[in-house]
Amino acid sequence: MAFTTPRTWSATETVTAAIMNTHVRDNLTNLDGRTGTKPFLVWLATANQPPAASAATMAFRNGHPVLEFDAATAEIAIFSGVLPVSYSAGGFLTTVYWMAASATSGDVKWNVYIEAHTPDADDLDSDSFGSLNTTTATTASAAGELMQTNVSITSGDGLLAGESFRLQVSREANHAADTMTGDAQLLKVVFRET
Amino acid sequence: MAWTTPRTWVTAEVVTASVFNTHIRDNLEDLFDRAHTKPNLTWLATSNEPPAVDPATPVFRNTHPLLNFDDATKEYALFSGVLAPTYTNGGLTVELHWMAATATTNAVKWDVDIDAIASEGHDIDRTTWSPVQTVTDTCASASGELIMSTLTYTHGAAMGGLLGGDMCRVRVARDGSASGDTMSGDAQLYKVVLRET
Repeated sequence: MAFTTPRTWSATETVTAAIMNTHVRDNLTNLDGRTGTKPFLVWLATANQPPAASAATMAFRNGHPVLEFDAATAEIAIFSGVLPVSYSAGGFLTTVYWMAASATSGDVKWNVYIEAHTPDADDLDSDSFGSLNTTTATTASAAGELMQTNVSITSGDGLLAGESFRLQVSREANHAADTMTGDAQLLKVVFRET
Repeated sequence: MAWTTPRTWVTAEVVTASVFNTHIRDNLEDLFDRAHTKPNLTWLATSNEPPAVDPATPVFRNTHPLLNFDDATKEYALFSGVLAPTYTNGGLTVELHWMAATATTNAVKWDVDIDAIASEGHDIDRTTWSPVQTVTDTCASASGELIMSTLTYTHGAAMGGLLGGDMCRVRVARDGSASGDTMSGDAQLYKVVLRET
């Protein structure tokens, strides 16, 4: 529903149903769709908190910090945050911004796991990531061109507003569906309420 | 004020005050409330700008970056940011996500104050901290489990006169020598949240 510049009303004009629908109903509906404080977290590659084993490799490409994920071994990056209190119990979506190091064809299987930190319950001395969320996407037609791959979070590990959490991104390179040769380079990750 | 799907108006209908109030007044008020994006800053332990004297110690625990606060010496961590201009004078809430290094009983006393840095006319060579707010909370029943301690600041002098759009620093300290701080060993700060209440 497009937004129309609100009408300047004049004295004694006859207000029709069409005018009310354009200037009141449609404008209200438009604003309703654009108003909100849904959580929206962005992490750059530099925000990675690498795990002790199988960590993605930090690299630079034309000055852009990226995390490189191997084509043979499943490698991992971890991002940490707090879910804003404005979260209103909607769903979650993760978007992985990535490119191929050199390939121009083939697919990459991205896996995302959420680890909610429930106060006085989850012990941070051991990892407790939830179940798998995954999407397989084809690389761009030219190396260096970005892909935005959405991973719907069907398993959010019970994450609630105001809670600390971690998000793990991995490339399941040894899976049959992951067919791209060479490294996949992760540039940014977005986590938001849908 | 709840949102109502906007009315489809029809020719020649009699428009009542009740209809206008529900479909125009109440919906506009609902949109107004939701248009305010309250400031919400999150700092990880790696965001610390350590003071020259008695800084908390950065460490890793199961790859989580943390700041260790001693149980005898008062140690500090500083976090810097800008309060979003959407702040509407609602006061502030600070949340500390922390755990014990080893302890499973007793309490930690946290001191938090705020340095408001106005865009112009503020000499950054001097620091004016707001009055200290404190919270004392018992650690989790198992080492490694998180506790979230909450402090609230009313708008105005209690938060150093900080306004929307101003830069600010938040100083976190553990007052390990206070009588209320009874936990042995380090307290480990994981994350800090500053948001409009």
